Amino acid sequence: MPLSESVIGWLHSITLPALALGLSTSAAIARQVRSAMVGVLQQDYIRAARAQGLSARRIILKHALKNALVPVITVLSFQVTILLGGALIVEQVFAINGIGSLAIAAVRQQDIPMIQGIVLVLVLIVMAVQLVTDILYGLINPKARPS
Amino acid sequence: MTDTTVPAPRTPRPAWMKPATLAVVVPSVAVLATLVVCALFAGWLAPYDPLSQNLINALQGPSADHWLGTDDLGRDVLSRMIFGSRIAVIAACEATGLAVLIGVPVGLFIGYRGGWWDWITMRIVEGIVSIPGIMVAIVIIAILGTGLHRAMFALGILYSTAFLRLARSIVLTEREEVYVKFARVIGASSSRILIRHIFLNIAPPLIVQVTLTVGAVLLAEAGLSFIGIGVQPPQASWGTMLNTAAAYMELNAFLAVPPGLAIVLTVLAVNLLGDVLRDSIGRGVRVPASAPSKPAAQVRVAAGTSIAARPDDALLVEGLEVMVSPKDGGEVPVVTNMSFRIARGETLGLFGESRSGKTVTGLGLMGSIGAGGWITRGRMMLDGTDLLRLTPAQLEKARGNDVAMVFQDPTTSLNPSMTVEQIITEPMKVHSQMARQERRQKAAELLRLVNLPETHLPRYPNEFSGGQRQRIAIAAALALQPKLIVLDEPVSALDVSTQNQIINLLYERRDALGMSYLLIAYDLALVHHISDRIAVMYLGHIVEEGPADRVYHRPAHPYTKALLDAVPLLDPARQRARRSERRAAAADDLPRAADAGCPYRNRCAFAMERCHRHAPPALPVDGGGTAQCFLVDAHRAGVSAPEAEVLV
Ligand code: SF4
Repeated sequence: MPLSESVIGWLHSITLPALALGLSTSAAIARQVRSAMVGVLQQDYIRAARAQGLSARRIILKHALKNALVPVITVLSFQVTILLGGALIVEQVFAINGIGSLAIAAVRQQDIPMIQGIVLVLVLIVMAVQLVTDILYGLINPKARPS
Repeated sequence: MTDTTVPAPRTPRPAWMKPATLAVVVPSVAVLATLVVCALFAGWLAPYDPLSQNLINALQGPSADHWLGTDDLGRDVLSRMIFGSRIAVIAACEATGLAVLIGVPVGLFIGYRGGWWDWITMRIVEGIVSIPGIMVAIVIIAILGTGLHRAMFALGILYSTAFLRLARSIVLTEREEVYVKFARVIGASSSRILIRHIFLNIAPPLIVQVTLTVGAVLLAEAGLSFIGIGVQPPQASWGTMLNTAAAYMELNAFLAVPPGLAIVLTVLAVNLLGDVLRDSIGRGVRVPASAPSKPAAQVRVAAGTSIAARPDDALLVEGLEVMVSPKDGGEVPVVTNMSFRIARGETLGLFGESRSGKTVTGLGLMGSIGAGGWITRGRMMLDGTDLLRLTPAQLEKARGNDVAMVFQDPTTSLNPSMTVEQIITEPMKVHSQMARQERRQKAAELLRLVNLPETHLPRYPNEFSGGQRQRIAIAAALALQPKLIVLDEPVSALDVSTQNQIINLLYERRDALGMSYLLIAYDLALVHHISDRIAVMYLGHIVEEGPADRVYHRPAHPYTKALLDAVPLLDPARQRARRSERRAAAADDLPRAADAGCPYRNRCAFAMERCHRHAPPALPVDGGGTAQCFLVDAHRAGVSAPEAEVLV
């Protein structure tokens, strides 16, 4: 159901595919956050925060998470690339007419110019995502900012 | 802390021997073994021909004849699953094998050759990596055509990029190492050594990468076959079976279960094995054990050692005992029956070598000994309240309000993602009712107190030098005017001129604000310089304590004497040698469980027979303070210790 016809209907038709795609990625990201958290919680500044008498909740949410998210953002941009690939398959599962079905039809018909076009579009999306993550990275990580 | 970056040594007992790991390894291996057996003996195991159709029997659920039911053409699902496993194994072997065969030699070559070859290849690899993998495969399939082997060829090329980068990076690191080690000595034969080194070092990461790739290939094969450009019907592969199942979802939902489960279980097994391999090679994440927290009620006061509280005590520590549980189990005391007091406005210097228990004592005061350690006995009276008998909430409050801590290394003790203002105001936010504006004013005032301009407030720690950062840390410690500040080697990470500035600053603030310091340090001259009193620790015991001048100029305990006799040597190499010797000696002498005898006896030049049987009590020393050594008693009594003379 296209967005132009009904917002609710569009949301309805997009929820399950998004869930199918997002769940596996969220597992990968959870894993990354965990390992980053383990690293951050061993840092001296966490001990310092504990010494200041901050509650465990405040230490984790305010002091640790922000630092743990820095490496996660980098992973996020890779994950978007993987997600785009996953979307090709999920489109088929939910019979969505998207770039995936276009690509598959092009392969069947050996339509090389069409495939070139699709690759170009995907590369542009990936580049845009990487640009945004780089900017985000600078925002969240003061070390990457020119002083 | 730093050991996470150091590659783990090859341990004699591999990680996969542990029961927790075995619980993962055994089922994973079982799944994969089943898969391989099915693949090899598919012809014998399958009850039916996977391709024989029987349209009358189409889309049946599980039954005695067809254990997993039949598909849209009446084919036996179980037989198709078994033949599908053959496809999975072939796919994994083909694609992974090809990836290794292309990736490793090319990676080795460009890593070794460098220059343009390396540059051009790496740009191509980066291009491939930035396109979704399945799209790369689709492009290659578009050129080659569909079918199992062509699809696997495509995947092989795709995943070869990972092996290429792996091989290249290993050549680069090894080259550096071998070059540094051998180039000067033997020159010509270094390339042969390089080759040997590379083959020794590439195996472990290669194995890990292979397992990861196998998992990815299985998923990709299923995906490609599912969208119809991998394995072509009527051939049975798990992916094509899923495709069929999707088409007949409304008529027989069960069709999706066997291939779905098979894919999930196989990929899970491969990845879990890969994780175990990676962890045993030492690149995994190490999670510290959570601290076994002992309830406050279990902390006992040591009997018979009670020292009377004085009204001007800022801190009174009495009969403190801290236990740790080392990795090989058991409990070992790191602080034993420790008692000291710090008067208001006074500085106590706690001196000791590494592992003497001095840092643990400081952390104990802050209630954060950390994983694997806990306080078992004693009292810690801060201004009349026993810190060890507070509830966690009360303790949190006390920590921020009454005690603060300054850490050794200001490059790691300030949160890199918080501004100076946030760092300094954080304790106020949590422990006081101050409004935002008030907090900012206070922060500016604190910065001035540590001689930094208030324009630094909105900046981040990485913009400052070590000395400036330590000033910021001190400002944060001063924020709530604590009664006591624990200084854990506050200047040892700074250069000498900065050290003096920080020391003077600490002095000034203490006298202006009437605080007490507990200074933990490894530099006896520094301790003497700043402290009013000195306590010397050895293996968790305070072996000598007293006024700073007395301890420094007229030490009574053999350990303190040995430390002070060692006047710094002018030759830095010899000085370094002596230091590492001393450190090695300290490392040999480990804390022992239930111990009779003097803690210093193994290194003492005057050790007597009774030193091995009895622990010396804390005996008063002329000029003030005490020392735990039998010789003190002998000198005071005016008799010479006969055994001691023999040994001297
Ligand atoms: S008690 Fe004995 S072993 Fe211990 S320091 Fe004194 S002389 Fe040495």
